[in-house]
Amino acid sequence: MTDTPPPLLVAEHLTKRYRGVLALDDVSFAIGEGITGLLGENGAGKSTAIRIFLGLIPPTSGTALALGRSTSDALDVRARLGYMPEHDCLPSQLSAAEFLTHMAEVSGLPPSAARTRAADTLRHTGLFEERYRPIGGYSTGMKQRVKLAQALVHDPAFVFLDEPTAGLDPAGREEMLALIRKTHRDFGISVLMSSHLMADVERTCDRIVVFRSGRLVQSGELTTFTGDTATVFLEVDSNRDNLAAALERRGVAVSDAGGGLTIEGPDESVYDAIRDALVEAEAPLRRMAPRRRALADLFEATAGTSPAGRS
Amino acid sequence: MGAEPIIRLDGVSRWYGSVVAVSDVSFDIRPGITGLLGPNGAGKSTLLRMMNGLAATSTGTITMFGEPVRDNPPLYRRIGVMAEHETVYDFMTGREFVLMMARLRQVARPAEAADRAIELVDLADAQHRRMGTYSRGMRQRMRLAATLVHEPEVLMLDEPLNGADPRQRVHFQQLLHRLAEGGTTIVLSSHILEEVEQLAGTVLLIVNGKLAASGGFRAIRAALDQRPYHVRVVSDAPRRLAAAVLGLESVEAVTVDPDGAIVILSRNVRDLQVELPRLAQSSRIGLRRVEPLDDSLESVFGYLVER
Amino acid sequence: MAESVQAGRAPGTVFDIGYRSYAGRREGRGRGRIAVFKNGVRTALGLGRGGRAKILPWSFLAILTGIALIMVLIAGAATRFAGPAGAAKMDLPSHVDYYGIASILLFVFAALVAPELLCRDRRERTINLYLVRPLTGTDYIAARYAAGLAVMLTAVWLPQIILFLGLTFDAAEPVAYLRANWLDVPRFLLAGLVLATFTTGLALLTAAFTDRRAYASVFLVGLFIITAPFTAGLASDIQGPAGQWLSMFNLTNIPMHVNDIIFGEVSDVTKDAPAGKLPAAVLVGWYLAWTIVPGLVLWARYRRLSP
Repeated sequence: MTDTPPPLLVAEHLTKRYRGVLALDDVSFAIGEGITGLLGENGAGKSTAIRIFLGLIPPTSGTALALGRSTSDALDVRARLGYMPEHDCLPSQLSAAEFLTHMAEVSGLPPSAARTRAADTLRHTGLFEERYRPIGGYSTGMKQRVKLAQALVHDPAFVFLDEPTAGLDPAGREEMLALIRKTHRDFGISVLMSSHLMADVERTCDRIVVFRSGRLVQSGELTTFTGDTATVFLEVDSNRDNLAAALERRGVAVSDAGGGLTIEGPDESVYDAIRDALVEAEAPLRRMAPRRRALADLFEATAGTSPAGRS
Repeated sequence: MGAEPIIRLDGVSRWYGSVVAVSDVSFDIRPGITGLLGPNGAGKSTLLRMMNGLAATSTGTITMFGEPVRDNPPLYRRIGVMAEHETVYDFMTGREFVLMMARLRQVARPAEAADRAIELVDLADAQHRRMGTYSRGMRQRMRLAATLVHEPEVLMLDEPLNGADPRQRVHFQQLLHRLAEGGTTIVLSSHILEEVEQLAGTVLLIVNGKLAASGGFRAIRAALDQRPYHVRVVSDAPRRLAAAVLGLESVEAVTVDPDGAIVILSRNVRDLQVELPRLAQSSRIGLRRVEPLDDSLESVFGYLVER
Repeated sequence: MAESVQAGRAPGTVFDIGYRSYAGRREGRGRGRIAVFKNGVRTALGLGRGGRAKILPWSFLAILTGIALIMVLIAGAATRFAGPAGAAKMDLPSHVDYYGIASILLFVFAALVAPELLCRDRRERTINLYLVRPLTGTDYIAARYAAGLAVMLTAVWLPQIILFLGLTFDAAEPVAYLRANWLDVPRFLLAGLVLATFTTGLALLTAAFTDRRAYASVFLVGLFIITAPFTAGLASDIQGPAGQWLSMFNLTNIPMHVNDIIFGEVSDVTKDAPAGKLPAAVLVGWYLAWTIVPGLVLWARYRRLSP
């Protein structure tokens, strides 16, 4: 039996009540190495949990362990934890280089080590000449990078990222997600990423944890929640009706779906029939793939309609 | 099908000194949901501000319902605008805020209008709490209620879903669909392209101040037949398929993934779409999965931005 | 010739400049406190923050030093023209008077420096990044207080040191002067400390209650500069103990009375203040209250700060 490394964050019967509101209700989970997505509605308890792990607020009852240490006597554990807030938090007057050096020192690094690590971290997060200019003049994308850099500069074992792609345009979003993947894969730092964008979580995370109203409602490998259903979706650019007819002739039951055709629970033999029907109907094939479950399905609106599953 | 456009832009440019924020943009906006897309700094916010009359154009005209938007107070009653960043008054309750906007907008029966708007955004339970106690998503929804309270015919929303959780996002999409079906013209600026893809029938892509693409997303995609097109194919004989596929004129390159799928690069989508099943059939190879990798709005967008 | 052939074949190395873990020392809270202190001093003096940030603090330091230099020049000129005896009779301004002359400038200086130390971090919400590091709220405020105090001490001591050196070298017999007046040094150092701690505490306390530097500065200037003539005027009209106690609320004089006690002579600024007639213990106790209590409130405010 291989030894699994001890989990990095552990919550046991964690409860937090403040101002009469039960923010966390007897929550227990463990987060290990890798990139974990933290999902849940606003007010579901995610930021409360993060604050408890960072030792900023004490739990009402239960225990929280970060890197094996109880968060109540956790001041020095913060030297090995990083946090990237969602909100603006960068000083506009300082350059990224000076700011990052300073943050490294505040985390306990001696000045010369702080300076070197600041320079390296800026390089790893893609900030080059601009690092000597005041942060006030940076674009949103650059500011997000600085925010991430300050969370990493002291070589933490674990970082908490709160909505890391907020405000970024599509290119910036892709770059930030790539940086996050790099943080785990190349830097060896594990990540807990809180996000409302399911696509971000699906592209980046190995595991997810879902909160609702202060309780833990789901947790597990990402693939448990995404993954193929037994329905195959066929999209063609023309001759759809011909294709449907050709399929029926071969004994394959088809239904109409938005933009294409669906075939339920096919067995292996049906694929050849599909291929032959495509050729016969001269239908240009754009897509043939099983419908996938989407993370967003976890959050169907109370109004009842669920978002279209992605093919 | 020849419906009059609700908003028309004609040769619109806007510059600030030597900085050209918007350059010679012309398009029509019709009822329904139109997505306004573009990288940060491309000129979308400037365009939105000109479209609702807050900023003047340097050249060109913008008309709404046939009238010029600039310096046209009666027209503003028919427009609702929700900007990206706005401070709200923390000390007010949600209801007070919406009521205030209703009164500012000179709505005939403000209390009823406020009720309706708050109901629309599903915040009736929280309306009597101070906005300082709201979560980010709730603040956004209340701001949206305030934007809708005077039942505008045109809605302009700049990143309205900042901070909204998934459930709120779905709810919001349904709300927009309902409004659009009811005849409201909605212009929506957002960076979350997968949502815009689901919401907007028409998109406008602004790059460096210029209009890079407009219209239905699928039509735009089809019009870009010269862009590189990657298709990932899972089959029961990947290498044999790869070898065979290289014989096709429409194929430029084939990559083999470690997990056994092949990725075909082509510059001729139409031909490849027809030839692939044919080739598989004649080579007696079973196809399991065919997935275009560049089909999303995000990919089309990325291509147009890079161009 | 042989060299260029060898050049291509010389052994080469590829260096790994990828991410490195940090295996060096981690120095805990102490390093953090020093860092916040250093950063505070740099912020207050505008170091590393562009030219504009340096203008105000350095102008003030220049003026404060300039005043001392002028006093040196006057003393030198007087000695030259009237001889040492004549100069002594002139009752020229000296160390005790310096604080009286410079006090307004020092208060305004504090009003500018203190908000820089505390307001920015809260306004820009950088404080949250400190609080998630191995640093408590107490550490932060203590380090900021130390930084403020360090800068204020520079502003109060540097000119006095220059004045002392100037007077020493101006004197006909510098060594004799030194022997006769060496007590001035500990006196002005202590008096400077009295003034600096008083000013730093009150200024930081004000800055702790608002996020906007301008509000804090204006409030402090009002507090120090405007209340002074107001209370002084009232106090001189009202006779007896009531007048004395009222005069105690002339904030600018609180440290000055203590300085009078230190120097053993009453300065021009305080000589008319009714409060000066109160016993020394009362004046010192009052001063301590106004210096220690703000410090405690400041600590209380920052101890439990949470992002």
